[in-house]
Amino acid sequence: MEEIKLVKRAQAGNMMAFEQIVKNYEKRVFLIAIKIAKNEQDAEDIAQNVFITIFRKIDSFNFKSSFYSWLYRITMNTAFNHIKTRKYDEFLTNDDDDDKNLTITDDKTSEQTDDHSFQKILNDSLNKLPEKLKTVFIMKYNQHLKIKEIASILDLHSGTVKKYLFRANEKLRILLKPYREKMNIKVAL
Amino acid sequence: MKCKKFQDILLNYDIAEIPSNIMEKMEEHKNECIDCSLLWEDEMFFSQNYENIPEPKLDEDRISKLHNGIMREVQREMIIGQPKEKFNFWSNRVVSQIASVAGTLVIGILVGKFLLQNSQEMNTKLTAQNVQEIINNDRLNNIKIREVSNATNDVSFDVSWSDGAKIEGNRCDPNIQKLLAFALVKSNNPGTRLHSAKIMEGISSGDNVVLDALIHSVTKDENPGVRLKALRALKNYNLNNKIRTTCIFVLQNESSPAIRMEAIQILGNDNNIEVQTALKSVAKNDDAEGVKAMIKKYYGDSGIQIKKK
Repeated sequence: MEEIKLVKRAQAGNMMAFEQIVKNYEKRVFLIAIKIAKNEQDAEDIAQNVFITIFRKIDSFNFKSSFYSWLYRITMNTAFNHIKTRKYDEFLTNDDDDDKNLTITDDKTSEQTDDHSFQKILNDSLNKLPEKLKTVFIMKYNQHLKIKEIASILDLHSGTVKKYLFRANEKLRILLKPYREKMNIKVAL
Repeated sequence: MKCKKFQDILLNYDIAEIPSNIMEKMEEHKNECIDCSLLWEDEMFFSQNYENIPEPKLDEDRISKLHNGIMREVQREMIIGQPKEKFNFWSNRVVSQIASVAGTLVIGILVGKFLLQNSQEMNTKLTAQNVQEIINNDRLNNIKIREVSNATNDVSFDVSWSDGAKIEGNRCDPNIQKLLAFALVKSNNPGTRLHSAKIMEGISSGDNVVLDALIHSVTKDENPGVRLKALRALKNYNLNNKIRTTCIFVLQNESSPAIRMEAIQILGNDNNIEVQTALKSVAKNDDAEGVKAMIKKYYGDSGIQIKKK
């Protein structure tokens, strides 16, 4: 109820209410953005753009969904558009070139296993994915969204989302093969 | 169960959501098909291990910096964009402008300046009262550009009201330019806005309303194509403070490198100190090589203007 009042006050042009909304959600938005962007600066840019969009469009929020759902959609959409345009040329070409990042030798693997937690290895491997693949992967496996929901939020065709997921899974499978073999988990290759 | 169905279910549903009868069939298939069995293992592995990706710990200073950055950008948005006031400004100002356009249009129709080519019934519809009514009801949102002749500069608009009438004129006509400006700012249809901006590429209006509409689109339109076309239309105008500020805004805020490059072209060899400072920053920090190359072309590597001897 408090949130509804707050949003209504912001819709009426009350800047203090808007700032309170920013305070309530800035950390969550930033943490989502940082999962997708590869550095804090990009995540901060995304967070700023999210709240500018909220500021511009808050009048159009109609309370049919929760405010957070609305904000979440804007966050994911902004993050996805940000990474699409940030390095435009790289984005156009990194699908094919990215395989060069997928070489981890067994020797290095064993060193890494000694030095890092398994969770860090998982995180590092995720960061090796092209950002668009990483985004859909996070939305599916970290945030448990359905294919249709991902497609709707990112304004993509469901088939494209499936294609991205398939490719993300394929790349992660290659990256994580040595670790999973060590853990005695079967790998589909 | 076939492999395709197995994989579709696996990809589209949480394991917990799969009904038991379907799950049994999947189990049967998994025992028979090694590929699908391995895909299942993958899915289990990803679902379990990526559920809790570690998040960075944010201290108070970091959150405070983030908050200040967000509010600074929002303040800037209020100053440059003024979305609500801008909206009201356009609602009132453009509508009043369009009212005068409408008056002129009606007079134009009477003197044969603007031709209505549809049915006789439509001729009787386009009266001052009706046009005013359309504007007051904000129904010009549905304006569509029907045809443009590059040879003659003639433009025809479909205006959706009771019977879908048509307005025709020449894009060199200030009133038609105002209609285009109205469509550019008010239309909900990106295609219409894009079309309006494109038509305005070849003209330079003496009316501030038209210039403001272009600037509004460059800085506010959601569609990058519209922003680009609107910026290109600004090329026809002499560089003034409004256009300069707009281009600096584009350099600092626009996500599309192509649009930033267009802004650099408009600024040309401008030696204004704010422009020089903005370009210097872009030359140093911009990710896009094309943007850097464009700055180099006009201003040299550092973004500082090369003075001609």
